[in-house]
Amino acid sequence: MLKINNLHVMVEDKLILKGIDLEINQGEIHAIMGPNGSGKSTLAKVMAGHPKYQITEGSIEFFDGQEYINLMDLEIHERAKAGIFLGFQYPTEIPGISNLGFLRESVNNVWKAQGKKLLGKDDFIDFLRPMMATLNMKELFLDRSINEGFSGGEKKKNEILQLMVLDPKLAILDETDSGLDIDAMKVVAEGINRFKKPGNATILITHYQRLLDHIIPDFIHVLGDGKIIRSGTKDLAFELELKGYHETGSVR
Amino acid sequence: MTYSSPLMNHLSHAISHREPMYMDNTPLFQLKKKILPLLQMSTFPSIKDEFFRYSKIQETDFDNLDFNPPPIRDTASTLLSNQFSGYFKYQIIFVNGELSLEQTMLPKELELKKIIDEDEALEVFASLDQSNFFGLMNILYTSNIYKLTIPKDFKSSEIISTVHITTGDFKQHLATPCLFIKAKENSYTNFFSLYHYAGIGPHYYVTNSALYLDLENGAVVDFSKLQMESKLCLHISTIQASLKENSILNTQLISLGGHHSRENQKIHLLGQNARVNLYGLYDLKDDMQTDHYVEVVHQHQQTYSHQIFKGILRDQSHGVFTGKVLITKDAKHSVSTQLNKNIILGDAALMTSRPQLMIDTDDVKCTHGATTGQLDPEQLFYLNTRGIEKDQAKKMLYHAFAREIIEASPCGKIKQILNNFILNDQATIPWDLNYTNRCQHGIFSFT
Repeated sequence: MLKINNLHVMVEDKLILKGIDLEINQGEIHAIMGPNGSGKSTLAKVMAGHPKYQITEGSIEFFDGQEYINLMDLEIHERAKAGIFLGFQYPTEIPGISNLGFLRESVNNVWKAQGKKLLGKDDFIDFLRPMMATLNMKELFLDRSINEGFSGGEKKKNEILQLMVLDPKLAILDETDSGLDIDAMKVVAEGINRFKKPGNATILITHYQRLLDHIIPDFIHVLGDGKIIRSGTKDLAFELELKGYHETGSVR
Repeated sequence: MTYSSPLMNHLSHAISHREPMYMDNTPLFQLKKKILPLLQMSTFPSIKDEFFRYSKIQETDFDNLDFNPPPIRDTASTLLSNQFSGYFKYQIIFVNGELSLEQTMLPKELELKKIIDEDEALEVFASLDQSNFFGLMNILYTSNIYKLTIPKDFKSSEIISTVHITTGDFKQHLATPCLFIKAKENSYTNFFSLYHYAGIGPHYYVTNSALYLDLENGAVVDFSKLQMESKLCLHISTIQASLKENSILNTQLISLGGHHSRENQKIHLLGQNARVNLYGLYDLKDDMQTDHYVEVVHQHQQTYSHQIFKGILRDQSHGVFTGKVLITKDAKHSVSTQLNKNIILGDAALMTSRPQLMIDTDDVKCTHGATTGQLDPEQLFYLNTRGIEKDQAKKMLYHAFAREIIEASPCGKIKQILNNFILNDQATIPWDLNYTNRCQHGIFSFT
């Protein structure tokens, strides 16, 4: 589904990613771990197409259901329509736009591009209700402006709601566990687990092993200084949790 | 220095020679005779004047005016006002600055009449701001001053619309509608004022309108204005209000049209607990300029003023906001807040923001702030990652920015009209209303 080859990325004249190679297949969950500044969020944002991040070398190829396409050829909104979703580490607050208006606009754009039938306003709210129930979100939330005045937990739930609603092929979740208490963590993890299907894939970016208590990844990669320096299965997360990145030799 | 120009010559001639147009209204004529020397002794405001420092309005804008307006024909204006009557029950229609009585409809309790009484003319003179050059010009040129009286305890949620229509044949002319509104004790009225150009191709004309509001104890007035003049027009507006005890005035001025426009607001807070809330939005493109000049004078203790003005500046447009608050020595325990926020979109667009606080007493609360910047790229990125194209995302962000001002109106219908114009960039009025989509939660939906 996704092939990253020798990816080099620069931000404001500083090379952050220095040759990432990664292949992800349908149905897989990959966790990417690593210390602060190792390039995890850069990898997430470059896949979504953030204009500040410049690819200087390498490629990202994405299977759109028919063929592999070069992600760099797509605009940001086209990537979303092709089935890529970025769950933000710090979801942006946008005062003045209601969550409902935003969700509907987003879904209509993506579904229209995917040839799906659009829902009327009331049907759309009915469509949202079970997903919001899974995430313990009250309907009043739809009235509020996007992420404005939300607690850390509410913001992350909002990201997972968007994930569930848009149902992408590839979800890139950037530190979705940060700022969550134990209960909220379980709720968010439940949302991510429900999202998992044989036809999609997830990249979980996290600092800690605790999210992986609730979501079992198929592979774990450790990022250090802009490269993947170790890969393994879920046991690697336990090792990292016990010994830290330095002692495990993950970071030099 | 005296003010002399083709317009001044015309006025001097008309008033000195007492042309027939004034024959039927002697008190107005006497009033004009009193005002004429005041204007003659003035100089046309220029950038040397502090209050006019950034205005692009020039004396020469009045040089080539034609002082013989065309007769009003029942064409576009009637069509438009008929469409309008289906939307708002009550309306006061001005066509090319002249009241169209036959198209005007008001609740039976309200009285609208020409000022033909000497005492009333004196009252007008007493309430005039003699330093307001354009206010004086308005009175001198207008063919009639109208007074609307809202009786004591009158309360209606029905909107009273004041529609100012300019027809396509009103080229190089000057419109000077003048309205005095007296809101008597404990009354409530909600006005929606529309300035609309009904011609096909844009052309030059000048609107110099004046609205005087007198709010007695406990009176509440909501006043929304949507200015959609021709893109070549010069629009000058004076709103002057005095508020007595416990009265509240809410104004909401939306400027979307005109080449150069000047919005003067002068508010006197005269009684305890008098409160004014002033909201403004300007969405400018090309080389448009909108210049908001606000002056609030707190003249009594425990008076309150609140201002929020927002601007979206595209292309080479120029926005000016001057918010002057004067808290006199008698106005202890007063509160004044002021905020001016702007989004600059054009490389050559410019914003001039001037908060001015003058406080002559202790124990008051005053805040002011001004921000000018670009669209937040992270907000744009966030919307893009959700499949929303850049242009649509920008539109959503402009609307989100403007929403605080739109929401200031207590009236759903007005909000709906403003939403239509601001979100959909409509050039014509959607009278067939196809209501703007609103979700069942009462918040605007973009789809």
